[in-house]
Amino acid sequence: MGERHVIDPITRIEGHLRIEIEVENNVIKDAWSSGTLWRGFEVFLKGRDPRDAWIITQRICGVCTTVHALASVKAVENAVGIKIPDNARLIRNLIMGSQYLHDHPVHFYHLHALDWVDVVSALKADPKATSELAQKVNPNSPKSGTGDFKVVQDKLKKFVEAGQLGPFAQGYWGHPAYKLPPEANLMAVSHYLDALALQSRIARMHAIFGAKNPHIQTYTVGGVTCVADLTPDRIGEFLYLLKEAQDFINNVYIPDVIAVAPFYLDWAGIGGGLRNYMSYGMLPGKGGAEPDSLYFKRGYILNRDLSTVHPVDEKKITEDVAHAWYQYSKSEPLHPGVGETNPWYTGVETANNGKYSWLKTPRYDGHAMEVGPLSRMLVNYASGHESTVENVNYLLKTLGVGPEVLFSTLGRTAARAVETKVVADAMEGWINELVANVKAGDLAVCADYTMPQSASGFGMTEAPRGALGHWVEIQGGKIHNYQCVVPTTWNGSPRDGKGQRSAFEESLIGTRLADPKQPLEVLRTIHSFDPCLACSVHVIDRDAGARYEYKVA
Amino acid sequence: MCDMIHGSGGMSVADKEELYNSLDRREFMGFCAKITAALGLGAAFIPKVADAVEKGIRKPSVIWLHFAECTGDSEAFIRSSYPSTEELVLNLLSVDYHETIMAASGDQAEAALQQAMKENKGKYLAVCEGAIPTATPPGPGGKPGAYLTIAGKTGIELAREVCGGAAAVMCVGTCSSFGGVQAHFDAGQFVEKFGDQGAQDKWCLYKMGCKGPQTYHNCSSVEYNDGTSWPIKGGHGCIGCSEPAFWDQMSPFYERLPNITLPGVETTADKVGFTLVGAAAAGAAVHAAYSFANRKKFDPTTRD
Repeated sequence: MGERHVIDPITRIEGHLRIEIEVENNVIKDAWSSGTLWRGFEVFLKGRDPRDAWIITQRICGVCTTVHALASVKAVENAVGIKIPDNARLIRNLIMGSQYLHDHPVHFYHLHALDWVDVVSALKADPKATSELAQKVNPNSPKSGTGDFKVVQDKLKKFVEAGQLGPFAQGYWGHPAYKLPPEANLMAVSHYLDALALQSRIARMHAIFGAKNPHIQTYTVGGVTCVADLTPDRIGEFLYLLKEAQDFINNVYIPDVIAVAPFYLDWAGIGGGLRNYMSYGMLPGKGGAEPDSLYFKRGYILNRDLSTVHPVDEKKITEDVAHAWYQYSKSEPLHPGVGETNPWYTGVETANNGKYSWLKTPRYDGHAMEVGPLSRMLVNYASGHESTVENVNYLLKTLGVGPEVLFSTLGRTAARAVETKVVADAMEGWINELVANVKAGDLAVCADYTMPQSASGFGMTEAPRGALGHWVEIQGGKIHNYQCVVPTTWNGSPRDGKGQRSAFEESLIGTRLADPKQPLEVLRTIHSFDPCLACSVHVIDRDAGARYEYKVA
Repeated sequence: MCDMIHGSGGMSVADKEELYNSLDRREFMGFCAKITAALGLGAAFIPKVADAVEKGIRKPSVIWLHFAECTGDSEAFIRSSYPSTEELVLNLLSVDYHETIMAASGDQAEAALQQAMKENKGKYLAVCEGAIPTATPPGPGGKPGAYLTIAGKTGIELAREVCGGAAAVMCVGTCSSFGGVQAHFDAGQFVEKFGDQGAQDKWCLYKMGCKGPQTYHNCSSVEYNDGTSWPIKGGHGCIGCSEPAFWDQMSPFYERLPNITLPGVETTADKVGFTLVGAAAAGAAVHAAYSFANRKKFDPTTRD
């Protein structure tokens, strides 16, 4: 039995996460992942108008905001049997696309980068050598002159000299696991700041067709509402911002991954964890049929066997509470459509194989699954999705490695970058389709429907962090039950009743730590999943009602 | 003068002190207004920010706490355009604790928190994002507030620990709100169906469930995301998303407001709005982490 270490809070994520590790001779032997907030958010949904659900569920998360909105309208549309107009499909695809263009770079530069980039080391860089490095990686690198990097370095120097380190205080600066030379660190710091400015611009893409961001307000059951934005100037503004995003992705984001990866190739063999990968697929094509028309394919891979992509059947999804702070009336795991949620808080019982998280444990046909950008890229790579294959191969070839390196912490981070480019490129096509519709006089954005007294349905899509499903049951024209099974619930959940670990826990096993009291290596792997805990600690309970509402002083 | 402050990020502490001293009151308040706006707070908070800034010549230390929340306010915070987020984080504020962006985790994060509280005692701004669970979960580990723990502490314990020593405690999520008159209302021009000719001509969304007549937010004049859009422009009714307890007060979102006569109802709409502010006061307490600090009492009538 090794020694235990607790990392709480895990920062640079969404929400509240605690990781406990057991370490022997500096190697992680076991791990426990705990979500430490229960929100009871979906309790609000019971008894409400099903048309309102998307507005409520969107507020589960302010980071991957639009994804719950989409899963929710899809679930109700599936229950009612609505086919949305083509323009609504395109607008939803464009809004989802811009979510990815925003979310992935923010994760890479503002949440993940500090795991690889030593900000303090950047002070020692030679701006001229930094400029040469940047232009060697990419001759089209913007703002890459000696003067550009000197400005950033001076800014950083003055910031440090002023003595208030703000968010950079107590970082792991100087940790032996940081491998980048000072010039690469300075380049990364410079792009950290550029990405900060860019993400605010990208958020405007949401606002053009979504009216606002983080939480958009133009979806509605049946389609979208933003008909007055289907004009040449609005579409042109959107396209202009897409070009700006693509310029950053192609000339900064992808080159940065290619520049940094060679220093961390050992991480292509660390953090792999589970061997199963699942994607629900997303971004419907013309006609909207699912899963056949989806741009990103639906399927799963078992035991890292890329020769076979298995079809997904939503009926095989279950949730288990063996180690989660709930009690079931039955002993077996339950399908979300008949889910139960009875909180039962024991405190953290990692020492005696008890309960230790507010996250339930989802399984597919009994298998633990990793979800997220890596799973999407693997499912699409294995399915022969043209743009994915082309971009993944380009990256692998440039780095001089084979596809086996993808099953790792580094692979997860690289897959996210590749995916950002694949999505951005696909968005051009949807803009062209939208323009063609508008030119032909098709301005239909919302379908007619009648809300039935009773119906049930589900909506499946992909959040930036992975597979997302909403299940709704309508009775008497109102919501009777509502369940979400979200990406970080798949990845960050506690082990199941059979003792199988989920993705976070499994991915940490075997990782060597330079200093267990400075757990930088743990952060690298956990951040590679881009955890979103607010999404995962959702619950709805057909019996709970107001009993679990927060009392706030 | 404010533009000079914009460019002053790299100044030494002494230089900065001199600059602050050289500001007249009006300029100083402008500086504080920027910080206040960046924190997502209404104009009524400017004096509180000014008070906090005046107590220390260093960059104001900000301890941003996340409770039961979705990080949407933090996301909005990093969308700041004027001033830019870079300027905010590097030059205007010292964001000493903010779990979404800080480098440190675990013990080091806790150390950063303790250091910021100690070094800036009585001077830091405590920003609270999200509600604080206080109920006791069932089960043998249940105790008040255990629905949320951070570093083993409940949200209540954390709020008590941090808010008590703050110069001001601010709750992001309670936004300023102003009345808005729907342009097509009086003319009886209404959207009857999403996407119809009326929607294309940007007519009134009242019949689609728009709650505009009873909300007080300024999004119609400011427009979200650097002046890009707002819900009515996007063809969707207002849901009063910045109003206290909007999920109950404003829903069902697609049903029209009751008791409004058509047309010529500006005064009636105003009365509805005025009454609602009072009725929703109880709901507003959701955001009132003030009570934990025992410093200021939440008063919904001061909302601007």
